[in-house]
Amino acid sequence: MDLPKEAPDYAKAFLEALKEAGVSIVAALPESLLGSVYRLLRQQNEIRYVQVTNEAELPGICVGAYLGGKKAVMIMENSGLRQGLEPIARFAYSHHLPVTMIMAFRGEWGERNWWGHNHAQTMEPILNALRIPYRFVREIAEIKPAIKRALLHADGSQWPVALAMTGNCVEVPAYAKD
Amino acid sequence: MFTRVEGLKRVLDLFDGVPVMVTVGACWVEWDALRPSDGNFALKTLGSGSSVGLGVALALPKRKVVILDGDGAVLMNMNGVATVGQMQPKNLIHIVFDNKVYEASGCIRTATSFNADLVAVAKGLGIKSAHRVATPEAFESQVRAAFASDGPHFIVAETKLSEGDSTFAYARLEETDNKHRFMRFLEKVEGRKLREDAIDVKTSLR
Repeated sequence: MDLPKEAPDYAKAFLEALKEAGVSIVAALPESLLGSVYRLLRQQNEIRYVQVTNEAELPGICVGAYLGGKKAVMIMENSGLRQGLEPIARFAYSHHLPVTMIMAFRGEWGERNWWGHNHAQTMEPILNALRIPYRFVREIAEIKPAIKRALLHADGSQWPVALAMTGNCVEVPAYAKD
Repeated sequence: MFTRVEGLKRVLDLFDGVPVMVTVGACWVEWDALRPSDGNFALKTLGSGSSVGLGVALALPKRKVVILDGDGAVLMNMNGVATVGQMQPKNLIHIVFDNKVYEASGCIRTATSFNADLVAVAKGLGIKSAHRVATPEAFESQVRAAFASDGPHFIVAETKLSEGDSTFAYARLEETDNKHRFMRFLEKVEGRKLREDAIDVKTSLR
């Protein structure tokens, strides 16, 4: 995929938010909706970027980092919630370990891709079933406070939390441009 | 072939101040009896060893971090080994006790009893220091070498069942207690505070 040289504002705000919140490790499985975020993470050295091959690895890496005293977040598409569900649930219900999940919300109103709808349809029921608090982030100005508070909420509650990025906080698919 | 206990007893002296991520079942029971320590973290998710171990290793890059795993567990998350191969954490030692069965669930055969070769997989995923050992002497030698050199290291120990050994009894573990004790252990050996309090008390009381 050809990426623009200049990163979009949402991605720059995303990276600044991670740094300001003190995040030092990001584990992610790249996808298209947050494509510029992964690219920016690759281009810098301040945050340790761990690219995985399966979403089920992400909770374990974040948990390990947390135990070692580092602030870590995991990033993936909301489809990854189903793949990563067992370790997320197990670490929560056994050790009460916090994991901060940031998900690209695939399946937003007007989604054209047939394959993306089930991700949206299942995300909230799964989060609710696991009693995982979550918030949607739609505007760029919301990114910094959302990430900062997500980390605080996870640490304070010793429980996973989730952010679903959508609206102006993801790449704009060509078909969705007005 | 040898038992986990026979092998681990030979290298216990290396583990002073070392955080150890331990898979579920008999491996945990035996290790926790051999080295009772707050530095033992009980992995409740089968296969999560490589991922949790990587996270701790990245957080504490100057400290050796050990994973005690089983063949059934590591086979559940070979993806985690791929990521270790990509990240190349120098301080990570992954020991897999390969008895070729799911011991805790009735000794049903695992893939390593058929055709799976964990050492070949680890090497193929970029872990150059991947070795198979089948005697207690070779196990000791390989583990000592791993502690003395940069990794990542991946050691597959061909072990037999610890059947009939009544020395070890399962002690009920409260996992949140295990978490807090493990974090305090790391703070103690690191000699610094690792976790910032989430709440600024002065601010929160306003």
